[in-house]
Amino acid sequence: MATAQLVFPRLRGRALDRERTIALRVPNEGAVIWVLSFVSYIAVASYLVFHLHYMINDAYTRVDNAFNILFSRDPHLGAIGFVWPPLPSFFDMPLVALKGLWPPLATQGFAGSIEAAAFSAGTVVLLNAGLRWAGVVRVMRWIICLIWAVNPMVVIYAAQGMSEAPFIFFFVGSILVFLRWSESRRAVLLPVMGLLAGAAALCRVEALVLAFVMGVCVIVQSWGHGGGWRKVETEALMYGLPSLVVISLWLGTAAILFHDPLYLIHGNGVHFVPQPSLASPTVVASAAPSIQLTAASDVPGIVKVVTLGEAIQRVFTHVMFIYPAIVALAAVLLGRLVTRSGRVAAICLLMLGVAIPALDVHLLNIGLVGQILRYQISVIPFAFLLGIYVLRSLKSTYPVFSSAVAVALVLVFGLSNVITALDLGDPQLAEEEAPVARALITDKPLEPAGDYGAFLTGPEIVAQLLKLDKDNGTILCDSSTCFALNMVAPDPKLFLITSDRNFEAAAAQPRTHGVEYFLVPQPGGFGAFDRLNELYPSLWQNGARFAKLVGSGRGGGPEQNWRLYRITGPTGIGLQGR
Amino acid sequence: MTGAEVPDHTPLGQLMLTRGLIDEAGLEAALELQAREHVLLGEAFVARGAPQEDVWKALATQWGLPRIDLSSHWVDEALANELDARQAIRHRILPLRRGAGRAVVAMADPQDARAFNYAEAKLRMPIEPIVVAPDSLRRRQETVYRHQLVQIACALLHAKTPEQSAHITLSRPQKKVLVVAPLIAVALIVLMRSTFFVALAGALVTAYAAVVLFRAYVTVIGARSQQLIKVSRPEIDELTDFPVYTLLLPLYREAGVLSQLISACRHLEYPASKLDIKLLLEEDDLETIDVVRQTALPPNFEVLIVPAEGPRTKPKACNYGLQFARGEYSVIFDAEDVPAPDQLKKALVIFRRRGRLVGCVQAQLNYYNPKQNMITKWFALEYMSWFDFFLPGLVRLGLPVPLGGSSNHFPTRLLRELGAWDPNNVTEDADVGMRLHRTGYETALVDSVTLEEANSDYINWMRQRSRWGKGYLISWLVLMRHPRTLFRDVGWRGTVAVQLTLGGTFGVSVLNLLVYLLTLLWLLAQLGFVQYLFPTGIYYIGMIELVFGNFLFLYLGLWCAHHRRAYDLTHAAVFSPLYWLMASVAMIKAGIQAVNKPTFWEKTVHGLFETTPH
Repeated sequence: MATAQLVFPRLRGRALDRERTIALRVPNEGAVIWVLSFVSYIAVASYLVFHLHYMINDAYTRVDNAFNILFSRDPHLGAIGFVWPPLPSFFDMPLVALKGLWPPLATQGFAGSIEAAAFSAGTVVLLNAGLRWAGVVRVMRWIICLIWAVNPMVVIYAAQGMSEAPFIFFFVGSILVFLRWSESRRAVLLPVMGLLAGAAALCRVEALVLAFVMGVCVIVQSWGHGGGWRKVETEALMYGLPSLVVISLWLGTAAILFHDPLYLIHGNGVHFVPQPSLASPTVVASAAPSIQLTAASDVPGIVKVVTLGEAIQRVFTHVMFIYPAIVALAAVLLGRLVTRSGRVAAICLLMLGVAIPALDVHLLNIGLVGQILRYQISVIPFAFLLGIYVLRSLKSTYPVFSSAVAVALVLVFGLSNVITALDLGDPQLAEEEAPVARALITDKPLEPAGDYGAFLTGPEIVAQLLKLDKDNGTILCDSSTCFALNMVAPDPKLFLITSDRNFEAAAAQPRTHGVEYFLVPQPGGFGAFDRLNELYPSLWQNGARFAKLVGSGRGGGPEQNWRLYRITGPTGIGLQGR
Repeated sequence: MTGAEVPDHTPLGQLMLTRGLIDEAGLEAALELQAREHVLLGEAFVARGAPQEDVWKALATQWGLPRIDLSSHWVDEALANELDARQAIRHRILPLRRGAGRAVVAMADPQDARAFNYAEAKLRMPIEPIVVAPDSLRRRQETVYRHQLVQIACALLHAKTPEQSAHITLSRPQKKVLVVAPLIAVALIVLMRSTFFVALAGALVTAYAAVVLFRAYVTVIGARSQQLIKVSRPEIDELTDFPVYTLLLPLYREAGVLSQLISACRHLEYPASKLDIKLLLEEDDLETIDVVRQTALPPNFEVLIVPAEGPRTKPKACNYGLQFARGEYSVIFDAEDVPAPDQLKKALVIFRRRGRLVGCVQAQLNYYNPKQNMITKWFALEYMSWFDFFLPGLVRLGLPVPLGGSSNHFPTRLLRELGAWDPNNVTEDADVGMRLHRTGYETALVDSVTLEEANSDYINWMRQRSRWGKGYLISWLVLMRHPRTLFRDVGWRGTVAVQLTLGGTFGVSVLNLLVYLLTLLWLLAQLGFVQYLFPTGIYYIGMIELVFGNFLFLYLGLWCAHHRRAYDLTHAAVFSPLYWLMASVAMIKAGIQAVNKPTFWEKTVHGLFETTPH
């Protein structure tokens, strides 16, 4: 009977009448789950970062952004940079502030890993709460949560300070709250939903469309519930205003600083660099932009633009491969639309799930994003959310059937995890994850390459620079080059970087601003976007007639060579800065 | 003087029938009322509409006592004033003259042994009663005891606890502080130079943050707790014993809402014979007096003319009326109020249920004209957040509660012991709430709404709001005369709450204007001095307050609209910052008036909304 209770949770209620059960007392289930998950993810992160030397450069730059706010030459909030949505870096800040106690928080970007682990553990707690709401018994909940927690994509991004971990947390949270509000209509859930959706948008740009679609769903649900259009308006505002305020803070700040609220899209966000060594384009993300960098789509030969059909196909392929369970669950949901009431909520749920992949298709089509597997990571939590929704809808009506569905979900999710793991080993499909997947098998540390591992090269380069910069003169460099340097430099203030408010003025008039050196990457590839290369196209070749070569080396940023030039004369540019 | 001198043992009802004053049906109805509401038969006749004079004529006959028409009778005022006016009113007696070793005393109820004994004890001679109808007696008492009554109305609190009276705005130590503080500021400017202003900006930002956080915290607590006491219909129906309930209804230049007020009182679900309704009219308000005199008032209404002496304020009028209150409980309603019909019964249930620790039962206030225009919408939202969330939060946290200006129910005895209302304070409601808390009494919030008329005219609204701001400021100054005593009485939490509720409400409203102006200057022109005044730490705190603080309270308005299902008010909630700017201007005016006209009562005009709620 005990076995049957495990397998068929709905039988548990009957069993309790007949036999004494020892209640498993968990003082605070959520806290326990969080702690266990967090510790596990930290262990994985330690293994990846300290043993395998795997740290995605984008994760490292996010920590660098937080570092710049606190410890750069010009500490200020705007130093967070406006390429990435700012929330992950904000969360890194308190951890980076403790670098004095443990330097790897900054030097090896581990602050980002801790932040990601914390959010990933939070997601496990959320899913557990959702499953409890769906009426799933504890053991079955924990099994499903475990399956989620060990999904390879989830694990990798729980160990890397990218935006995926916090994004998934807010994504799951907002949709769970939406589902609960759809049922209970408790007003307090509306602002919570709005805040979570807004926060998701501050982690990933694509979540802007999620927030918008959620607003549409609130309107649709509210209208269906009756009460007139004024009530609909009120409830839409109750959801929308918190979301808008959160998002507007970011857009508004961009508008003030860059006179463009959509700077993330129009500015130097993500670029494509055709890599002959690989079959498909490689994405190289900038760390913190130079203001003058142009949009990726304006640079001929840099962006690979796909047709709409190709975009749909590629996104769909990613969706299928990243987590095939979504197909089964979507089919179940569509089936419910035909047969059951409550289809408005089901349609809304589908819209929420489709929103981000649909946006990805569009952005891929116009060349603003790359064909990167993790861009469709939302499919994985969405599959789990669909499972929760299905279980909830079966909860009271078909208890035995819902038990069977729960078991089926376990199998489907488990199988999908296996498929995810296999896919991550395919470099064509998972360019960013394949190296670490291989390293997990070989247990051999990775060498810096492509878009990971730059943090390893930083100390070496800084050592070389310090040998060259004997008089400790200020070195000006674009953050896209020296993001891996200032965090590991003994004195971060040695570098005058892009986020410093006098960067432009100092780049134009270095001597006036106390700058003695320019650090410039090789103009090929990503180095073409370096601000100094833009201002002085001949700087790399011959010092542009105002600088003298002091030294050179390899590995400033991702696969770059660098040169250090000493300023010997006026640059000839009359800019006075911002 | 008229009436038999030999008692007539004929039952009163028979006498009334014989004299053709009532018919059989009327007698039966009066008997039934007597049995149901436990009143004297004479009162039952009056409650049924029989003229009081006629009833008292019959009573005089029954008692075998002479009766007089007091309106034209000479009264030895020196003799009369040997009695305490309040006691004379309470016992319904008035010494007329003395002679032959006896005092002739007019009495409404010569069979009242306590009244009899009191008169004899105070006059130190035997008394000879003469029957007088209560209304006639009261009118004459108002004239004879005018000086005492005015004195008590104006100075009772001052006499009891002068340090809690706003008869002066600033105490001597406070005046010293007012003189010394600028000198210290000048000295600091000399020493610190421009850093002083940065420090000042930091201090203001911090204080602003404290008030905003406090308001938000209390509001959230209030939203989550169930402090509004619900009284069920069965509980109301179980009431059998109804004490006399006094309603104090001050009117000043509000003849237009008189009929609505009378109607509202008629709709109260309370035995009419147990309602002691006092219409308080100002002596110089001839127009309203005229209209009242031409109106056929229900029998349970009494008109009191408040002498035009001393501060010309609503609390003084209420203090005057309180001296004539016969009720075990008293409540104030404003002229335009429409209380829920069962409110008195609900208050009674709460007083009985919660015991002696309850000093006040406060009903919720809201408006019957919320949609009239944008001002009324904002006002309605403000009241919703105040009564639905903020006050319940204060109650839940055990903090002092600034009462609303109307629908406060008190045990009459307690109100008198407290010194009643401060006639010099234009927010006497907030003040009495603070004093109740200091004395250890609780305020209970009842789930019952009194509808009022929201101000729909900007100038009118400005007057009202500036009066409230002035009152809050003065109340705060009064409480802060002896900070250590305040701390001892209400504890550190109560002391902090006083600063943040009274002082903070005024201060933040004034600061809002300055904050918005600085923000605008910064956004438009990026003026250097703004950047200087707000270095990084202060800037970020200020920016967080500006964005999140304003958003929070804007959202609160939205929440209130949803909570009350008043969806028509949603747009007003979104534009709330404009309302806050209006409040800022009003508070600045309040600050000025606190200096040059601290007791000036800016009258709020009512009757601007044409449709009455019934």
